[in-house]
Amino acid sequence: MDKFLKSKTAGFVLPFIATIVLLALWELVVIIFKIPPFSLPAPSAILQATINFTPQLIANSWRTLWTTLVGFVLAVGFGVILGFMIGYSRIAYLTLYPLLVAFNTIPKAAIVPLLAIWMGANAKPAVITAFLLAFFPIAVNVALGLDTVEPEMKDVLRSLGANQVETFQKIGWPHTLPYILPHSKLPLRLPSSER
Amino acid sequence: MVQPLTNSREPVFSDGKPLLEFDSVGLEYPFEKQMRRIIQEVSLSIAPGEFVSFVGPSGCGKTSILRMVSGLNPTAIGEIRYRGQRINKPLKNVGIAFQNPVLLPWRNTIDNVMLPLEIVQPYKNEFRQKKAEFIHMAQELLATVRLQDFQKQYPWQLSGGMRQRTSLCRALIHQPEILLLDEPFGALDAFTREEMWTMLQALWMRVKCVGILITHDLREAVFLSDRVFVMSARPSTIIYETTIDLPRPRTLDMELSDEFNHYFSTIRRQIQHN
Repeated sequence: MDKFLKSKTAGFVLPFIATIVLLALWELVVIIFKIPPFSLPAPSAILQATINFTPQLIANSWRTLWTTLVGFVLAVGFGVILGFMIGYSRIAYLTLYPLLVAFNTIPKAAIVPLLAIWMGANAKPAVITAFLLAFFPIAVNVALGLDTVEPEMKDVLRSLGANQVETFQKIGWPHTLPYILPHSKLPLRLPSSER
Repeated sequence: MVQPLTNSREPVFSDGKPLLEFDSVGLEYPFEKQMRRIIQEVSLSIAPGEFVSFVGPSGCGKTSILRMVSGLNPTAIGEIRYRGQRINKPLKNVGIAFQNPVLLPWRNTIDNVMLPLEIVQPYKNEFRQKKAEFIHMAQELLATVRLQDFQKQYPWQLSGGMRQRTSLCRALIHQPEILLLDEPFGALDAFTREEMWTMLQALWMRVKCVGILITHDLREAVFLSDRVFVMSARPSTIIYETTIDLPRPRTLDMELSDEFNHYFSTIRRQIQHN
């Protein structure tokens, strides 16, 4: 048993079994309590609908995917630049950091209707929403990542005559990556679920 | 393979002038709204290729001396001159090793050692075309500290001593004129530490640079140095200076000799008197 839990197969098999059990329970509950489909459709009904509407679903999923990705790529680009500035410049830190935190407290879902009014119901508001959701955590985490580089590591680089860009390239960026990645996974999921 | 280690160390820049001159260097530090004097006055000079150690009680400003020489924290009182030029910004051609090896965790041993070559000129510009040659340089250094079989390992896969040896190789790969060591072996056990002394000596004799060592371990200072400076408690000055006249390369057996123990006990007494 222990051996199985440590194996890679367990990581796939166990969640798979859990999903099947959950779907079966769901199906049973719908049948036993005679829940009408407009309150809670059974998994079998959902599957049937998915098959019936496949072309529409694929088209819309594709649209969600690319708007999210475009917004995310933009967010990484601008977030890293802003994070770099805040992390390395005291002036940028003092002036921009409070603004960044303030903007981040605004619920993004509240801005979406405004964006739609300004830009129309097309891909633009979607991209911007994805961008806004991912941008703040990335900028804050790049700044945080740069701030937590060991001072001795910076000293090693400075004593070699490295400039700020080289310092960022050799230690700041690789050190910051783990601070960005777990968070960039999160905001990447959020925009698609919020619309 | 590894060049044979010889007894003759000809300094690379032997024009008779000292490489480093300390001219009435002092240090003050703000403490409870007033300036407190940490270093009273230090004047000395260090010749090219010389290895010197600073020993003294905690808080006497030993580490500050290293930071002033490297230019990371330039002197505010008095001055330190490198080849006659006042040091007022970080020097470019120094190697540094701290008690904490600060290797980059996302790089393996050989890539960690090669880091300076990606930054310091002229290596930086030649990095692409001469990469094979540079890898060979790094491998030779690693062989000197017996890490030739650990090139592809990451820092977390190495022991504390191995990490520190990697850190020393990184400090020396770009052939610095000055090697600065801030208690590099302070966190290692006694056996590993002694082993590190011989390896550091071997590395230093290859590169032939000035070595400046800060340490609490008087045996380490005697073993490695050409000259040892003893500093007093705060506000500190140099209270004793001695030339260690033991042949190179020094061996761990020499530690048991009367000469070695004479140097050790003389320095020990100087610190006790304080």
